[in-house]
Amino acid sequence: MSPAPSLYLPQPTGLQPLHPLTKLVLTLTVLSGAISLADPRYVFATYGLILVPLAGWSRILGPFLRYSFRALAPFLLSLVIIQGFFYPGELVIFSLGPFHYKAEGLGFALLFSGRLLVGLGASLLLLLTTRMDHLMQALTQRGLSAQIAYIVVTTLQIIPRFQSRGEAIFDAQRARGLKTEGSLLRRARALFFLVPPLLFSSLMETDARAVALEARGFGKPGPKTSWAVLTDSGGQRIVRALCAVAALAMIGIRLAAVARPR
Amino acid sequence: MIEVNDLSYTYPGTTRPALDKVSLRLGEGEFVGVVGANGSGKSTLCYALAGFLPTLYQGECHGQVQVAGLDPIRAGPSALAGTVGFVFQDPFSQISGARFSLEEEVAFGLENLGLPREQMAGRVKEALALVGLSDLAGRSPFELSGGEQQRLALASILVLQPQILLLDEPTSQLDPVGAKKVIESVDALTAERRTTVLLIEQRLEWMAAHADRAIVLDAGRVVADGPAREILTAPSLDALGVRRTRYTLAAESAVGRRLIPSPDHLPVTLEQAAVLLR
Repeated sequence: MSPAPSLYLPQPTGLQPLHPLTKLVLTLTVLSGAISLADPRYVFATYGLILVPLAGWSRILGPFLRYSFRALAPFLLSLVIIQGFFYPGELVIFSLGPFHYKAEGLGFALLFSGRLLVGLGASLLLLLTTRMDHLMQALTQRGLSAQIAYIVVTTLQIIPRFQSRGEAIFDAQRARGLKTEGSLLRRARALFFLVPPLLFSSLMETDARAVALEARGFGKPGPKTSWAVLTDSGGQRIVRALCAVAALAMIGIRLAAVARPR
Repeated sequence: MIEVNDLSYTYPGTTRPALDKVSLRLGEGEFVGVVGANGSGKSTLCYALAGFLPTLYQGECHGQVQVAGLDPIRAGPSALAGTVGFVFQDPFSQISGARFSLEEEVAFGLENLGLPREQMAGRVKEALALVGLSDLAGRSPFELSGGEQQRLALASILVLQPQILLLDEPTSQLDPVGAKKVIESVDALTAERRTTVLLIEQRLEWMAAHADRAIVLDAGRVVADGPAREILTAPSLDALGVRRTRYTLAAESAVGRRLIPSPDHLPVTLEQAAVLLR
C-alpha cells in the first residue's frame, strides 16, 4: 500500500509551526506581488530574496529548489526560446536565418517565467510546510463547508491511488496475455483494457467510501469538533491583516497601471 | 433494541427482492450471528438496520424497522451514526482518506459527532489498543497492510461506542490468530457495554464461540432463528450453501457410525467437541 501522498515535511522551526491561514495568506500575498510587479528583476528578486530564505529557514531548501526547477526548467527554457523569436518587437539580439531573436520577447519571457517561478515557489512553500488537512480544518472553522474541505484533501490522493491501481490492473492484464510493450499502436490498444476497469473500480470504491463515511456521521448536521489543535496568536493575526492589505494594495496599483491611458 | 417487521427490499434495476418479508427482534446486549450463502441478504439486512436503505441505495423498501427507537428507513444513516456502528467487509473503502495518522483516522467519527477534544484522546487510545494497533498510532493509514486496515476500520467504529454494532465479515483479511483475538476483544467490550451485536461471519466456529443466537437467511428470507449451537449444527444448512464446521461433521459422522452416543447438540467448536468426547 502506498503512503498518503503529501509534500509536507514536518520541522520544528520556520514556517511549519505557524497557523495554516497565516501561511496561506503569505502565499497569496507573494502571488499578488508576482502578478503586480512588471519588472522581471523584481519578480526574480521576490523568489531569491523572500521565498528561498523562507525555505531555508523552514529547512526545506533542498526539496524546494529541486521541485521548483524540475517542474519548471523545461517549460522555462522553451518559453525563453519561443517568445524570443516570435514575440513582436524591434530590438534584435541575434538572428538565425530568417528568424530574429528580440529583446522584447526575452523580456516578456523572463517576466512570465519569473511569475511562474514565484507562483510555483510560493505554492510549494505552502505545501511543504503545511498539512493540507490542517489548512482545510482552519478554513472549515472560518466557514468553509466540511464537504468541500474533504473533497480538496482527498482529491490530492486520487492520482497516486490511480497510479497504483492502474499498475495492478496492467499486471493482471499482462498475466492474461495482453501485450503492453512495443509499438505506439500496441501501447494505445493496451489502454483500452486498462481504462474501463480502472474507472469502474474507482467509481465502486468511491461509492463504498461515501457509504462508509455516512456510517461515521460525516453527513450528520450540527457542529463538528477537531482532533488537531491549530495554534494561533495575536501576532499572526496582525501579520495576516497586514498581508491582506498589502496584497489588495498591490493588485489595486497594478490594475490602476493597466487601466491608465498610455 | 432492534425490531423488524415484514421488511422487504429490492435493489434498483432488479426484480428479485434482496430481503423478503424479514421479521426479527434483537434485545439489548444480544450477540447474534447471521449466516447464509452469498446473495442471501446478509449485508442488505445490515444496510437496512444502519439506515442505508433506501436513502443511499434507493430501491423499493416496505415494512417497519425500529432501531434504538429510531426509524432507519426514514431517518437515514446520519441520524443513526453513533447509535449504530457498521464495520464493512472492505477495509480500504472505510478509510476516510482525509487523515494522516491512525489516531486521527480513528478520531474522524468523533469529530463528526461533535465530541469535545478532551474526551477524544482516551477513547481513541482505548480503541487502538483493543485492536492491537497502539504501536502504529502515528503511522499513515495508507501504509498499513490489509489486515491492519481491517483492525483500523474496526477501531474507527468501536471508538464511537455504538449501542448496536453491525459486523459484516470484519475479520476476512486477518490471519486466524489475529482474527480470534480481535473477535474476543470485541465480544468482551460489547458484553461490558451491553452492546447489541449482529455478526456476519463465514467461520461458524468463531460465531458459535460468541453468539447467543443465530439467524439463517436464504434468498432474502429468515429460514431459521434460534440458539446458535442448535442452528449452526442443523443438517439443513448444507442445502442452503453454508458449510458446517469440521467438528460438527466429524461428530455427526461418529454418531452415525455409533462411535459416540448421540448428544443433545452436536459441537460447533473444538472446545465443544472436546467436552463431547470426554
